[in-house]
Amino acid sequence: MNCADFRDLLNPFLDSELEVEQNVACLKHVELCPTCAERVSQERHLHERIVSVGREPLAAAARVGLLGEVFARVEAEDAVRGGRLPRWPLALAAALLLSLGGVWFVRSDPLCWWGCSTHALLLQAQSRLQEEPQSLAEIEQLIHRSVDCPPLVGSEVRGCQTLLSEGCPCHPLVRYSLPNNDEICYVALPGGHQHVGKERQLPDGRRYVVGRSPELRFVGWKRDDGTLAVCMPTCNMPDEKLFVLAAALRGP
Amino acid sequence: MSDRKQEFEALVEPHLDALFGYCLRLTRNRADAEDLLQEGLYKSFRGLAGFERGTHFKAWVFRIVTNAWISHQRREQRRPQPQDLDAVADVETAVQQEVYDAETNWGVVYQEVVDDEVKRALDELPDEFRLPLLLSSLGDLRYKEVAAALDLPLGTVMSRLFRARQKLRRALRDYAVERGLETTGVSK
Repeated sequence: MNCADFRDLLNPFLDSELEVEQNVACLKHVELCPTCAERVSQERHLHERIVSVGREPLAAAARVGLLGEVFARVEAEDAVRGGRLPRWPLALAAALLLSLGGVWFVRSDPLCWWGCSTHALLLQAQSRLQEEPQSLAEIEQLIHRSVDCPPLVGSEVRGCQTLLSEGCPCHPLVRYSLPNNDEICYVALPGGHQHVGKERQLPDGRRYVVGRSPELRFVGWKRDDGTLAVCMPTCNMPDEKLFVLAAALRGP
Repeated sequence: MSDRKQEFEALVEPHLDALFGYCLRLTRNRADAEDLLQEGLYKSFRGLAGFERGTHFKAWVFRIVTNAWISHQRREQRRPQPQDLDAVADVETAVQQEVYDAETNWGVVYQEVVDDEVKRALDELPDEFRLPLLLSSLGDLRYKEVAAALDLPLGTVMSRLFRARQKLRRALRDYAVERGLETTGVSK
């Protein structure tokens, strides 16, 4: 090793960062070269000066106060954290509320709120009951299909009207005349949105939807094809009778 | 809490002077140095669970103080703009400096220089050079520990340490020249 090689390794040699072999080579060189030995001595002296000026004694009071303040700060923070309500129950409650709200929203059939065709068609049917019905043949010619007309023992079909709705050209509203001049009508509405009335269960176990408001009065039931069959009176008729007629139209 | 406090005190107590000196050389004034040291100790105490028992505590705590200083610098946006540190801008000047270095009687420089001048020379070093030098000298950190503390490659740390000492030596020689000392000639 010559002096130039040694100078390249001077810093790691001083910092004891050399591998053993390199370190031994440097030590041998320093032993043989007074110039480099002097340089090492001077650099060590400089290092000691740096350490000496860099080591600032911290006053005893400051020393105690410093650590005391650190510990006090940590304790204060921990106390605040401990006194604060844990957040997870609030998060859980919020999640629960959101879930319940979501379930309620879905079950309540939100589509109906934003323009329910079932409700609109029922109102339309109610208003058309004041008009004179057409014959079944005329309606079938108009709608190009046969009218769904369930049998009702002891009655005769008086006629039919159509209910128009967007997307569904027409729904036949069949009117039945009963022997005592009573009259009911029957219509199958798409969608079967049962929210238009309250659901009830009869003793035979079958479920009906009953609508009773100043503007609507009907008994309905959900059919196998998903539509809502509705039976409406055209005159003042006791509920019990309406139920019996609805059950007769519904069949077994 | 009490056990942790005692353990932390026992670990940090032997290094408080070195840590404070380090903070003082970084901040250049006592009030800021105390604030920095307190912040560093707070973070160290908070992170004590992350310290592996049996490893070099001094390197660990110096590293945390260094990070606190770097964060502080970033917050204050006082951090010096990065320089092209490893480029030699003027080869001619560098060669002249090498010749001048070789002609300098460093024995005179180091013997005559006073503590205040060493402090001043340290304080005038850019952070990029000062941090590795202080970590190595005051913190007794190994090169790889300095590299980890500053998030730098090992080679960069070695290069910066070399240049930091070179700059420091030259600054001390300039102070000696300012004072009219004869700094040229063969070393004794």
